[in-house]
Amino acid sequence: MKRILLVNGAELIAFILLACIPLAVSNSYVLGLLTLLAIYGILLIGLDVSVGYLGQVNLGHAAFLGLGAYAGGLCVMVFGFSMLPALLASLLVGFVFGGLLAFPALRLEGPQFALATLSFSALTATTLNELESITQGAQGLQVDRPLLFGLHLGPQAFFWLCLVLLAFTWIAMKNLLSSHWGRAFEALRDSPIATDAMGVGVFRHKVAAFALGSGLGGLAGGLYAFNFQFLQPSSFVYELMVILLLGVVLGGRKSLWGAFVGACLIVLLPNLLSNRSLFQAFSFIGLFIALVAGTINIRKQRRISFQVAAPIVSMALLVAGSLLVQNTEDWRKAIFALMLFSVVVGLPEGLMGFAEKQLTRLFKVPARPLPDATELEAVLPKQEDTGLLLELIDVKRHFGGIKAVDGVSMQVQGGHIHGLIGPNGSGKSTLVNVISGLYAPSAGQLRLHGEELPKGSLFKVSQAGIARTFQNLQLFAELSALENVMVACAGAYKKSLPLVLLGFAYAEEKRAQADSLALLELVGLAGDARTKAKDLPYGAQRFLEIARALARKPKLLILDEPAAGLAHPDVLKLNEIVHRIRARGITTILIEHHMSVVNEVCDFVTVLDEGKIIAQGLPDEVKRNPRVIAAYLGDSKESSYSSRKLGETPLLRVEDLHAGYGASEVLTGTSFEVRAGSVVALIGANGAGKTTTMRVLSGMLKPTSGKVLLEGKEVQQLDASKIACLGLAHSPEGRKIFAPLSVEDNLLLGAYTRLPKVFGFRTKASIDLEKVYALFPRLFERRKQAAGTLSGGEQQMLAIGRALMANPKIILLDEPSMGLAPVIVQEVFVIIKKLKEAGITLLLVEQFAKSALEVADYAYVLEHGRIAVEGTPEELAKNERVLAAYLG
Amino acid sequence: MEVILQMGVSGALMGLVYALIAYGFQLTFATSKSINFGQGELVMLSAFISLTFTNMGIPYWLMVPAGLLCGALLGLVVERLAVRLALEQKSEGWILMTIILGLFSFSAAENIWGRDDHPFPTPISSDPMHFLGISVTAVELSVAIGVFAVMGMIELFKRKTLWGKAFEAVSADRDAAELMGISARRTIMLSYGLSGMVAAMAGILVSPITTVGPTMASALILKAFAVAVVAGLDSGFGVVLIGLFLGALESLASFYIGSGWREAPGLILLILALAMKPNGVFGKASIRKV
Repeated sequence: MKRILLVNGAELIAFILLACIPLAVSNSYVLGLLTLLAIYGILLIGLDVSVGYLGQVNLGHAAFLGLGAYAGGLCVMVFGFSMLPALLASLLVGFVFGGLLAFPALRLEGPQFALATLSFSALTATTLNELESITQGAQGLQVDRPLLFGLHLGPQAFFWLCLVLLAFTWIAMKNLLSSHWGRAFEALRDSPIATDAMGVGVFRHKVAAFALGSGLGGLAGGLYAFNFQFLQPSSFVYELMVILLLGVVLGGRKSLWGAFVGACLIVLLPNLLSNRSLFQAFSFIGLFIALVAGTINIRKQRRISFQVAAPIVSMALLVAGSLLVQNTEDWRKAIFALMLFSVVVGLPEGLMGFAEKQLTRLFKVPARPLPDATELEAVLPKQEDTGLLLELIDVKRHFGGIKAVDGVSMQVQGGHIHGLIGPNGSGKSTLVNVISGLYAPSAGQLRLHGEELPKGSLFKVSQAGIARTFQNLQLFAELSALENVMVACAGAYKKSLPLVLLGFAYAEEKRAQADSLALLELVGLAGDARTKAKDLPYGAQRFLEIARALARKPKLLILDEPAAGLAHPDVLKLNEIVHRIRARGITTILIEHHMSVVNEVCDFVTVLDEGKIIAQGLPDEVKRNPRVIAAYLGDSKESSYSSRKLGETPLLRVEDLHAGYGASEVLTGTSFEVRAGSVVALIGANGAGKTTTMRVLSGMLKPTSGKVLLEGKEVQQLDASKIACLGLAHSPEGRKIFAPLSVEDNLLLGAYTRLPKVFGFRTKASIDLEKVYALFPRLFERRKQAAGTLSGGEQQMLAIGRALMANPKIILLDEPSMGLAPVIVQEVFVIIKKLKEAGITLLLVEQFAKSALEVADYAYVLEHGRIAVEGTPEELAKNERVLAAYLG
Repeated sequence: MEVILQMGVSGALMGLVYALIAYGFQLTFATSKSINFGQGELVMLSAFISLTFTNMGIPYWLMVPAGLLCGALLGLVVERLAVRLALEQKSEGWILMTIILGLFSFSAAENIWGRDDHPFPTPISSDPMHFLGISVTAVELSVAIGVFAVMGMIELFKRKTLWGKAFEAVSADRDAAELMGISARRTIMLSYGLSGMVAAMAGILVSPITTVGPTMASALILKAFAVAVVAGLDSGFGVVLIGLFLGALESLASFYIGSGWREAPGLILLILALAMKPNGVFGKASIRKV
C-alpha cells in the first residue's frame, strides 16, 4: 500500500501539477516550454526502448520524429485529416518505418546497429529535402493545427492534449515494460542465445521493441508538427539526435522518470545557454556533483582512476568555459559533449537511476509483495515413464576439416538421467548444441518422441519441448532471479498486446510469479527471488539456469556441465537438485566432468571420444571399461619412467594460490614448485584447475590471493606481456597460433621480446630459427604457409616451437595432446622427451596422465583447485587416488 | 557515353578518399573491435591544423608530415579518452563516447576557425589534363597517389617489420599475443595512432577539392562508413574496390537523379549490406559459440 501511494502518488502529483500550471501562469512562453516538455517526454520514452531496454545506440530516432511530423502535417494539409486521425497516421508511419528498419538491423549488434540507424536518419533527411513536390524541401512546410472533434485548439488546450497523450504513453509503457514483453526486451539484450533457447523469439521481440519506440517517435513528431506549425528537414538531423541521446542518458536509462527528467533538460537547455549567469551557476553545480561523486569513488577504490578524474576535469572545463566564453550559445555542442561525457563516464545510470536508488532507500519504499508459490505439481506435473524419448541416428557435425561429432547414434529413455561424458574436445558440447538447435547437424537424424526435431534453430527446438542450460552461463544478468525464470514460463502469457498495454495482464503476471517462485524453491533460491542474476553467487547462478530451463516444462532437459566451477558444498546441492528433477520424471541429458556427480545421479552413461561413442552402460560398468580409462588417462602399453634426481633451486614457486572467474573460485589454495632443469607434470580431471593455474602463472588471469615467484621474484600482479619478458613462455591450451600469419612469422613473434622491432630481426633470429626447424623439419617445409592451414599436430609443433623461440627459462605446456589423433600424441611426447634431454625446464599440464607421468621428473595431482597428491611418477602411478581423480 | 565515363572516373577518384578513411576504421577494428564514430571530425581537425601550418608559412612538403603527426596524436587522444575505459569494461560504450568526442571537436573547430569554408592552398596544379577524352586534374591524381602511398606504407609496415607482425598477431589472437610479450594495449594505441594519421592524410588530400570547413567531413564520413561496412571491417583491400565503385556510383546518381541525391546510394548500400551480408562483401563469417 505504501508503495502504491509513494510511487503512483508521485506520478499523479507530477501530472496534476503540470496540468495546473497553465491555469496559474498565463505566460505563453512558459506554456510553449511545457508543451515541448510533453512532446519530448513521449519522444524520449520511445527512444529509451531501444537505448535502455534493448541496450543499442540508436541514431535514427530524430528521423522518426521527422517522418511522424511530415506524415501528420501532410495528412492535414493534403487530405484534410482532423487531429486524432492525423496523430494516428504519425504513429503508424513511425511504427511501420521502424519495423522496416528493424528487419535489416535485426541481426546487428553494437556498432553495426548504430551505423544502420545513422544511415537511415541521413537517408530520411535527404529524402525529405529532395522530394520537393511533396514536402516543399528546404523551403519548409506550413502546417495548420487540425481540429479535434470539430474544436479549434488554443495553445492551452493543445498543451493539455499533449499532456494527456504523455500520460497515456506513460501508463501504457509502464504496463508493457513490466509485463513479459519488457522482460523479453531486456532478456534479448543480455543474452540473445538464451532468449531463443527459452522459447522467446528474439526476432519478433526485437522488431516489436524497435517499431514501438519508433512509433512513439512518430507520435511525438505529429504533435511537434501541430505545435510549431512549420517543418523543415534540417530540424531532424544529427545534432537533434545527439541532444535526444543526451536526454536519455543524462536522465537515466530504463526509467520513465529518467525520460521525463531528460525531456525537462532538453527543453530548458536553450534558456540555460542564453543566460550566462544561470549557466555559470549550473556548471558550478555540475562540478560540485562531480566532485562529490569523485570523493565517494576515491574512498571506495583508494586511487584516482579515469572514471573519477575525467568527469571532474570535464566539469571544471565547463566552469572555466562559463567564466571565459561570452557567447555560450555558439559553444552549445561542446557544452552538450562535456555534460554527456561526464555523465557517461561518471554516472552511467543517469540522474534518475542514481536518485531512484537514494529515494527508495530514503523513503523505505517496500518492494512489491510476492504471491505464495504455486504447488510444484501444478507447475511441473510429474511425467510418467514414456519409453524411448530422444533418438539420434548417425548425427555428424563438422567444422571445416574438424569432425567434432562424427556419427553418433544414441537413445535416451524417458525418465532417465542420461550422462554424457568424455575427455575435453570429445564433442559433447557440440552434440548438445546440435540437439538444442544452436548448430544444424552436417548429417543424421534427430527424433523426439519419434518426430523429427527442427534443425538449427534454438527457438524451434525449444518450442518442441527441449530446454537447456549453458556451460558458460547465459543468464539475463540485469533481471532478478525471479524475472529470469518468468521470462521462460511456458504458456503463462496469453493476453494480447492491447490488453497488456491497458494493464489487464495483472492476473497472469501474478500467476507466472507464483509458478516461478515454486521453481526457485525447487533449486533452493526462493530467498533470492529479487536479487539481480549478476549479483548472485556463482553456484546460485548455475542453479538459476536450471530453474529457468525447468520453467519451459520441458520433455527433455539438457544440463551442460552444471557443476563446472562449483565449490564442493554446491556440488552436493546440485546432486540434490538433480534428484528432485528426476523425482518429477523429467528426462535429462547431463554433461559433466565431475565423475562424483555422474556416479551419483545418472541412470545411464554414454562416453564420447573424438566425436564417436566409445562406451555406453551403467556408470559403474563404464568406469571400468578399458577404452574409457584409456580415453581419460592416455593409452600406453609399457610403463617406463624416466624421472631424474632433481636440482635444488626452485625456478618457479607457487604459494597458496586462489583464483577464479567472476564469482566462481577455481583455485582454492594451490602450492607447488618447479626446479630448474626439471620436467614437472600437473595432472588432474577436467575442471580441477590445471589450465586456470597455467593462466595465472603466465599473467592472463590475476589471482585473488597467493604468490607466484619466478626466480624468487613475485610476478602474480604483472601483465602477461611483462611476465613473458621475464623468460616464461606459455604454449596455451588450444595452441592459439596466429592463424593468418605464416609459420615463420609465428616463430619470429615467439622471440618478440628479444628481437629488434624494425630492421634486422630476421638475421638476429636465424640461429634460433634453425634450431627449431631442426627439431621440427615439417615446419621448415611449410614456413611460408599460413599457420591456420596446418594440421592439428603441426599446429601443436608450431606452438611448442614458438615457445622455444623465446629462449625461455621455463616453458608452460598446456594440454599438448588435446584433440590430436593417438599417433600424433605419441609424436608430441617424443618431442617433449627431446626437450627434456636438452635440459629445458618444463611445466606440463596434461589430461593423459599416464603419458605425462612417463616423461616427468615429478608430478602433482590437482583436485578441486588444490594439490591432492604429489610425488615421483613411480609413486603416483601406483596411487589409487590418481585414477580416482579422473573417474571418481 | 563519354559523360558517363568522365563522371565515373572523377567519382571513383573521390571514392578512394572514402576507401582511405574506411581503411582507418579497419586498423582499429582489427586490434580492438572498435571504431571511432568521430573519425570525420578527426579528418576535419587535421585539415584545419594543416591549414594553420600552411598559413604560418610552413612549406607544403613539411606541412604534410606535420599534419600527419598531429592526426596520429589526435588518434591517441581518442583512444585514451573515449575507447580505453569501454574496452576495459568490455562494453560498447565507446560508440557513444567517440560520438561525444567528435561533437566536442566539431564545436571547438567551429569556434576556433569559424563556420566558413576556407580554400586549402596546394602547390599541385588543378588544371585539367586529358586522357582518352577524359579530363583529370593533377590534384585529383594526387589524391589517388596519396591514398595508395599511405596504404602501401602501412601494409609494408605490417608485413615487413616485427612491430607490424605484432600488430597482426594482436588482431589474430589477443591473448596469445600477450603471451609472446606483446602489449595489446600499446598495440591498440598504435592502431588508433595510425588510424588518426590515415584520417589526417585523407583530410590533407581532399581539402584542396572540397575546401576546409567544420562540416567538410560530415558527408564524407557517412560514405566512409558505407564503404567499410559494405566491404567488411576485416576485408583489407576490399575497401579500395568498394570505394571506387561507390564513388563512381554516387557521381552518376548525382548527375542523373539530382545532386541532392548524392548521398543516397551509399546509405542504401550500407543498409542493404548490413541486412544481407553483415560481415561485408569481402568479410569473413564468424561461428557462434556458447
